[in-house]
Amino acid sequence: MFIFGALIEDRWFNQNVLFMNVASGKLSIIFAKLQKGDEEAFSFFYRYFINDMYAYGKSLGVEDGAVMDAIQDVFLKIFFNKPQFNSVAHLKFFLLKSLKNKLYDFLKHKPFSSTTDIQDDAFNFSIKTTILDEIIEAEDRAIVQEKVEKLLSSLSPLQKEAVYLRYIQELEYAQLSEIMGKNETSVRKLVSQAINKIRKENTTLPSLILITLLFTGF
Amino acid sequence: METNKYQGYRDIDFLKDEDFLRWSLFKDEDDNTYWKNVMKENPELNPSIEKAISLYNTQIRLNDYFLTPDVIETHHNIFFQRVWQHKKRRNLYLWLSAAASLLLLFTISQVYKHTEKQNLSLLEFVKANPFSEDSSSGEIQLFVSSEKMIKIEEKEPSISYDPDSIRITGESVAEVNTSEYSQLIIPKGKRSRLTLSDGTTLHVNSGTRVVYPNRFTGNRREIYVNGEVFLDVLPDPDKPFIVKTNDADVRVLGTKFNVRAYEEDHETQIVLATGAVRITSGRNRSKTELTPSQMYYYKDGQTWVTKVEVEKYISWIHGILYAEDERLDVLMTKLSRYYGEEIIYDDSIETQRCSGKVDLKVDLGEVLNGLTFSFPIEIEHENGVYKVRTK
Repeated sequence: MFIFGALIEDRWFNQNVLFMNVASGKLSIIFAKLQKGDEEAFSFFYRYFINDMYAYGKSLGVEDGAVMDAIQDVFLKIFFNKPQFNSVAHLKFFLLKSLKNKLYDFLKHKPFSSTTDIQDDAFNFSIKTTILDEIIEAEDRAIVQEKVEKLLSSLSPLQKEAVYLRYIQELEYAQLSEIMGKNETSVRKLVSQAINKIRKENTTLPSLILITLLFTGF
Repeated sequence: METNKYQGYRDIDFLKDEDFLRWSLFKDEDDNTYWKNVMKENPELNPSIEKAISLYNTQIRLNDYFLTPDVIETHHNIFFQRVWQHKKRRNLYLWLSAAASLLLLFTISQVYKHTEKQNLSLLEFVKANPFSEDSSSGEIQLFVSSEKMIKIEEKEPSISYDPDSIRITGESVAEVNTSEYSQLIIPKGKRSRLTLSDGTTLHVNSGTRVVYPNRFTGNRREIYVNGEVFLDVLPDPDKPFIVKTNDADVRVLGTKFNVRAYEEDHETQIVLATGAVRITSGRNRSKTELTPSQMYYYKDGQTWVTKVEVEKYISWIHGILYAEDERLDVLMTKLSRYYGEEIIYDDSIETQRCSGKVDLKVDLGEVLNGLTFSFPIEIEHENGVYKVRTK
């Protein structure tokens, strides 16, 4: 377990974005063991992905207890049903999608759900901004926080979820489409709409781009 | 040039700039182009910009929810405890069935001296005689005793336990050995009507196993079901009728109800048509009472009771299958079971939902082709297997 321990520590210091600090070679080895049913590999991925699942669950607005229960239920199901995964990224996607379904089941007390069941307003997805106090001073932190929150406040919960899954959980559009229960065109639109909405708040940029393009011939 | 607005900007100033923040957030193509150009035109700003990028990546977190390592560790340990408990329970069942087999051997040697007393309880018998699921359809098998098994070729036979003998579609086939249990095994593609010794009738659906005593002795009537049955229970206030499935027990006095408990589905569904039932399930043996038109659903330790249109849940006994906002893959499983033919499908059909009814007397190929008019799917029939592909 020593190797796994060291890898976990690297992972811990980069919570928000899934940096593959674990060398992808090592991760593939552990993943291959998982496919063969190795319990230690299962343990590893449990610890590796639990924060991503926890973060997604909390972002959906569900309270701690329910999120933790749902996480365990998802892993129990995988442990005994042993579905096959194409890649580590696929495993992550599967965990997040299963978590959302489980949380929806808890919410609605419904026996079945597929992500196309989940109505747009079932969850209230939010994005919370945190600025660490390591380097930036208090006054500046307050201003930056305000600006980031302002940028994001113009987005609808669906747009926020799409942006979160795409840029923070780094899912592919095809995966986004499945988790959000909408076709790929719709989710691409959600993301581009989000970007445009934020762009509209600023009027400085468009004209600059035009000039830039003219002068540099991009 | 407008880019001079960044003159004298330190890293923190870029961090407070909305355009910079938006670029950091989305890395949109237009923004990439813009900032590349800013850096090209103003090389003296590059250190500040690079520091700002680094600050963004390390100091700004969105949805920064996380669990501390000790919480993760605790959670991980609780998880594996649950896994071991689950495994132990499965092993316990295996142990019980081994012990029950020994008991059965012992019991047979004693039977010659004692009278017709059923020494094994119903569930002990069920576990001592596991029947492995046969995925391909075959003949209906009726075990009238531990030694005698009758193969039935008919697709939908009528089996009846009359006072003098066991009859299959009117023909007498065996004597009723009152001290024994019978097992009726219905493979996929077949169905059966069964009348028990007390007059209770069952419609048994495809892929189902029913275990019951040839004669109900004692103060209750108990049967075991793995699959789907619709029961019309003859009232007998002195002897409550109990249907046992893997996850729940259903207790009735005089009632018509549908039980759906296929082991491979890991869920239990009970719909009450008339009368009253009491259902006991789960680890804590929680009890639920149903009134007519209610459905009880149990899965993974959770219970739901809802009101339903009963006809839609028992229509299968008349050869009609209703789908009510059903996932297409679930419908495929039901059809495959009913017709006894294999259907392979793309996972993506689970996002499709359908409502309507299927006439089960129609050939499966026709049913599937009919679906191509409403869903973006293609059907292929190769080597006796149906393949459903999304377009």
